[in-house]
Amino acid sequence: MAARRKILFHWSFLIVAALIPLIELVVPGNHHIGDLLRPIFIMAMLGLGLNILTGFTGLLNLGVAAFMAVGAYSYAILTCDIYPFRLGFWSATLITVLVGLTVGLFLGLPTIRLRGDYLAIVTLGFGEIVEDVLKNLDSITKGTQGINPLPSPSLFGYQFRPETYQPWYYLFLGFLALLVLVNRNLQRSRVGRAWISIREDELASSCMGINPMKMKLLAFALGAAQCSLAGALWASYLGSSGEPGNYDFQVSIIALCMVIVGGMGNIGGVLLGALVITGFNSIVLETLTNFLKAHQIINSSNVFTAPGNWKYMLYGLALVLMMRFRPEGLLPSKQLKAELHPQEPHPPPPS
Amino acid sequence: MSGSEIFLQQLIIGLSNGMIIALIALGYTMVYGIIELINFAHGDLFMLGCFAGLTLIGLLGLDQAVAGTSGTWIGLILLLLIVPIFCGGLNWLVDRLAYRHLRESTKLAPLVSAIGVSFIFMNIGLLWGGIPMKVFGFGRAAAAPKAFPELVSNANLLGQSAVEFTGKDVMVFVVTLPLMALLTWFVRRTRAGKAMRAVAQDRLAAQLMGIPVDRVIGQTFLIGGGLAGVASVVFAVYNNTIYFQMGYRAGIDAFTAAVLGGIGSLPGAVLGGLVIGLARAFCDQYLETRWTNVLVFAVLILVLVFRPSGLFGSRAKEKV
Amino acid sequence: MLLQLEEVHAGYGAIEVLKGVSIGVEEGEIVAVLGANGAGKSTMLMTISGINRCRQGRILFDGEAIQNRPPHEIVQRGISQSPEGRRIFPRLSVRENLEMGAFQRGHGNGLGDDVERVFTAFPILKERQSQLGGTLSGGEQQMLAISRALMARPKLLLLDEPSLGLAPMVVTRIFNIIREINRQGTTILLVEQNANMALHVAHRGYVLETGRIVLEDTAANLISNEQVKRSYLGG
Ligand SMILES: Nc1ncnc2c1ncn2[C@@H]1O[C@H](COP(=O)(O)OP(=O)(O)OP(=O)(O)O)[C@@H](O)[C@H]1O
Ligand SMILES: [Mg+2]
Repeated sequence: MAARRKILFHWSFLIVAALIPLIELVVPGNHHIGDLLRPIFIMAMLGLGLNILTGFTGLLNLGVAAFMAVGAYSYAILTCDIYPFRLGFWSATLITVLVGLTVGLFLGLPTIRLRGDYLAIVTLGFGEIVEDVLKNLDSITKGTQGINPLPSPSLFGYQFRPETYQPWYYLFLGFLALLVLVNRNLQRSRVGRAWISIREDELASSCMGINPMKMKLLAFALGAAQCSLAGALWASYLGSSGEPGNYDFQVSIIALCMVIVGGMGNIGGVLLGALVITGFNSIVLETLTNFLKAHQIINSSNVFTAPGNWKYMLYGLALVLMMRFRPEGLLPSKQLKAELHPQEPHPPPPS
Repeated sequence: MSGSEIFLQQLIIGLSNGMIIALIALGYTMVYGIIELINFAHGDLFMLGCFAGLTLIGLLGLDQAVAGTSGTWIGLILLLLIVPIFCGGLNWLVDRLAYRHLRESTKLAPLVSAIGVSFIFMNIGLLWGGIPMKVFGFGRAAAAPKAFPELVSNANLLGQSAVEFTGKDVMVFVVTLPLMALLTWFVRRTRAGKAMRAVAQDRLAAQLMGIPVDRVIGQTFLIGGGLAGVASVVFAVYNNTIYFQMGYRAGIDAFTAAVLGGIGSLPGAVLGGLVIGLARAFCDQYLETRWTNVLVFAVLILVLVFRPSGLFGSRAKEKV
Repeated sequence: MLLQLEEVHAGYGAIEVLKGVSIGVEEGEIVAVLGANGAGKSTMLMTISGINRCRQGRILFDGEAIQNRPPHEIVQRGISQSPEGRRIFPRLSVRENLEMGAFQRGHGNGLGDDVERVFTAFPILKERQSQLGGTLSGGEQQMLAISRALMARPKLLLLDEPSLGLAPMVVTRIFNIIREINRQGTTILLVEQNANMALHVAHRGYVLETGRIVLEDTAANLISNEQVKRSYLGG
């Protein structure tokens, strides 16, 4: 019964999301909620990729933006006129996902044996190296200009255009729904249960016949693949790979914020986290800024009154306060809640 | 400049910057040694120290002072006293408010919290630059780099030589070396220092001995933060520019140094700092500046993956 | 009563380990607590020391409730513990380990005299005083652990399995030391697997089974008790 209600709930969500652009077409006025939702969809995909690693498997990754960058740049290289490949949307996206998978494996192989905090730092370092390499190898990546222009995709005989947002909206929504479906099935599968048991107790899980190394590697590969899919879609919409700085440490941390604020290990939680965190940035802050400017309450020369200048403070506070008061997130997964609220201190072993 | 002169010059630059990195690395390594937390906010604490220093200079009216006058010397000494207190106190406070409550939870919770603190600090740095003081350009371009006045003379002590060895280089060593000796003495010989090592080695046993563990951990944050504060002053006086995003880079350099030396080890952190300082200087000169960061990160990753106990010997002989 | 546990409950997460434990220790006594692996003996000592939370019940020391006070305060009040597995600070020297035992008293208060007294009682520790704790042999570590706990000048000394992993000769030696410490005026609460030895030095004893006290008597009576013989004295 509960499961059925949940499915109903999910479908109603999807339907509401699908109706937003149509409502905007019908209702007169100049609104752009649908337009603003698109980056949220992309960030949600990034969050879902990170959720496989950090939420399900308990591996803190501080460099998912690099996976996204890999996706965006490989999509760009595969589709842009200046390179010999000139693939269409589907084949380029597919190959990009495979590239992401490979990069995830490549990074995972030497590092999954590391302890949690060391792994986190290695992924951070990987993220920085990717950013710098993209910047420095300008003969291939065009440095800070990024690779562009990319042709807008033409799907099922329909030519996408940058000016009309609705087709993109449905494309992204469709991919997001697909990812949600894939992740739900993953979570319930043998693999997903193995991930969660590794997060809870790696030693015990290996005693139960799970091979933690293999499972972690799989998490790395699948997480990276999802993040690079997000990158590919974003590039297709931008019509550019974006510049390396678009995929810096802060993007990785914003993704982490989404997963933590929403609820680690819970897909619905990650979607909520994406909505809250990205939505906060692109909708609340922006609206507030415009409003304050329009009413001349602030002028651009005063840093303190510009809401955008408080952004990192709020992300930071979100992380600190969540860890302190609600480490399981706003929409927690049940097991994690029990894990994070032990009733007794455990005496630490001797070092 | 001849080849050997260039080499010598980079050696001086590398060693001076290495000593500064080492001071920051000590704060990382002490905190890691005692509670196994990668204190991600440590680099940004260092950045805030620089801003506190510049503010102090503004308040003292030293922004136009000429290096070498008695005013600048007094100013420098005041900075070296006050900024470490500010940084140490702030570090202590953050432990008290954020990390202390996470001691019994999973190890990743305090790390995530520290990343949050790092973002908060960075934002504070951005806003700090907007304070309408003369030293901050009256707060008009908050995010822009700020010039830090020359408190110590830049004149070459080697006279006509092409190689520059200035009063600033001397200052770096005059401040850092005694401080490191003092720290070693403190950790080895004093009761509080021994208690720190005891807590680092076996927290439960330390509790059973009646050592107030939380207070000792607080002291570690205080001292580690204080060292970062000294590093702030020395860095700002040595390099003369500060900006709100500098903490991230500095933090990564210092953390890499700590890892290189075997995280938890004090002499390791100093050695690691020197190695990173030199590596940066030589990479800037002989390879390309734009690849220097990649080099540091590559070192960090390779050491973590292949020698997680550090390059110099076995894991953390003298922890804390 | 110097120490009194009244219906103490304690545990880890959802597991309740102590399910209402009541024991008492008179001043000047050696009291032994026997019990199988996992009975909750160490948990009991850790609860007295303030490491584990006492979820229900009271712990009285010198007539004052001390349950859930911070560990350092408990040491200050006069209870110190030599824990199971000894837990010597491996990279502090022998002398520094002893100094840490006296941490609550500060550096002044006759620290040097106490160290000297330990060295007189254990000449081997004097020989090894600047060696790192982790490099001592098991028996030496046990002597160090007990001495370290004594450095706090406790009224009550908690000993958790002091014979663990030691050769029979050394075990006898350790128990002689325990008796001697008691003779000099320190009350001792002793947790042991080696029931035979424990009951020979103790005045009284308790038997703890899965978190409950099932038997309480003088040591002499316990030695001849059939049930104790069967379960703890190997026939
Ligand atoms: N830190 C901990 N977390 C969870 N459970 C614990 C912890 N420490 C002990 N336990 C459990 O509590 C129970 C009692 O343990 P305790 O160490 O008190 O037993 P004990 O009587 O001292 O046994 P032994 O003679 O083996 O030392 C055991 O079932 C043990 O598994
Ligand atoms: Mg025990």
